[in-house]
Amino acid sequence: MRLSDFLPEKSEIVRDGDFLSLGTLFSHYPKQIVYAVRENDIKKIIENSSVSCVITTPSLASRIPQTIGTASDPDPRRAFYTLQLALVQHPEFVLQPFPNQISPSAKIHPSAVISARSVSLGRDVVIEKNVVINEQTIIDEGSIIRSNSIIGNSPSTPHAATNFPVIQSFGGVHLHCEVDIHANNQINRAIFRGYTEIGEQTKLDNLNIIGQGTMIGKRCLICAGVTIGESILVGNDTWIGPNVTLGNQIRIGNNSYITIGSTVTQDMDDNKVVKDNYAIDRKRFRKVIRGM
Amino acid sequence: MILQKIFQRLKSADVADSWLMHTSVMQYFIKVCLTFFNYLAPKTRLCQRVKAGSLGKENMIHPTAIIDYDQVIIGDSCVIEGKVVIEKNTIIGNHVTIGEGAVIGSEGFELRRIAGEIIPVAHLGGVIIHDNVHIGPHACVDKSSFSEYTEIGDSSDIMAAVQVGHGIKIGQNVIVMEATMIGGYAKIGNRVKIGRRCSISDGISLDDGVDIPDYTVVTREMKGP
Repeated sequence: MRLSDFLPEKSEIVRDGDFLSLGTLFSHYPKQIVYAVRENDIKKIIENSSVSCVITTPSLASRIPQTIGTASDPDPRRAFYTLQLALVQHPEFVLQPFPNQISPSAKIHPSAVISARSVSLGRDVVIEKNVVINEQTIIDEGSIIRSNSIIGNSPSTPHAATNFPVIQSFGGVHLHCEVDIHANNQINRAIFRGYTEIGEQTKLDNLNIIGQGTMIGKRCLICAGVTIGESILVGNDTWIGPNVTLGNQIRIGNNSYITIGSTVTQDMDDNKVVKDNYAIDRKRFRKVIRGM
Repeated sequence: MILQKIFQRLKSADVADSWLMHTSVMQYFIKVCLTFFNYLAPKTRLCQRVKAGSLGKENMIHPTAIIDYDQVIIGDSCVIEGKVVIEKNTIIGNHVTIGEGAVIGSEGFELRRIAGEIIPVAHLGGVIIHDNVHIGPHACVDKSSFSEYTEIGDSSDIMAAVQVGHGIKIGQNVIVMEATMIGGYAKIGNRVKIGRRCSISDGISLDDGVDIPDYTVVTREMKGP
């Protein structure tokens, strides 16, 4: 697919290029197209060898490497979503449906609603009361989904106020082994041909919302009321406290600790503590607390 | 009770940070103990307090509400709306309203990082909701660990999308407004008002009559007026 064939009206082409899939700054799908809004995103594009095309703002377009196809738009995120909508008719951009594969040892409550196709449930999966599981959901062995949670709903975008297109999701949700999802959670499915992923032994408390295309690592603990935006990479062994909000397209490092009520809108390195809106080294934080 | 005291002692800072607890032998020992406890505890009826359920008069229960009637006690004149889930070991008083999609008595969030793995602690307690309590839509009240109860006092108002963690004791005439998260084992006194989208840290206590404005993060104990 050529970038110039699918570009929205207001966007301008800087350098043409080929792409085969949509993705995020952290995913590794073959020849993927991504969008970049901030200066930090350029570094991630250079590090990610799978990126073949970028939609970005006019000021950042000159800093993209010469090998990568580039288009400029005043609102790159909206242009990306408009392009995503134009690709609905092309079957190679959509995850193909498959018949349900439900293990006989999975315990499913009769009130749970499970899609008629494209759902895979592994061994000893427990699905509790009123759970809704939508299409293209893969749940590996030993996971528990507790009451009133929704897995794989389409993400909502503010289309009424900002001329955003209404989203049609092509992707799915993949929960790895021993994931525990408590009551009233919502996990959005990816909008591109890929998965919203939650790693092994990660546990989520009640009332969380996880955005599309987010990849959460192994052994993370996520407390109640956390709102995680779209296309985020959360490292392994991370603690996310209650009422935390994470912004779009950021990277949270391994072994980091985000305290109660914080808001994170920028990248975080490994072993950091976020207190309110400031990131501090974790070892130093521990020393300060012990000295008090 | 003995198990709970041992567990609280293990969780306290001076024991949890000591070198003995970080040795591989001790970590392995605790891991085996916890796994054994998690396997055995739900199968025994020793710690489960509500052994026979009962339902009072003049209750309005929506047909889509899912209630474990064998181990839930419900008083008189309660209103339980659609898609409400009430799990076992819950005791509900008279004139209680529970809004749509609320989950009462689900598993608490108690997890330990031991020897590079995450091991949950099985919860055996329950929830007590006293008289005249109003619980809003999509609120979550978790059950307590061991044989304790999470309690919500008389005439309290828990609004929409509030998370009441495990083992919390809420007093009388308390107002908790929308999207507030209350961490585990917090003690909240009488006549406390908590605003919208507040975050209250775990294990702290708020005295009688404390007024917390909207969007506040509370990490220390608060004295009343």
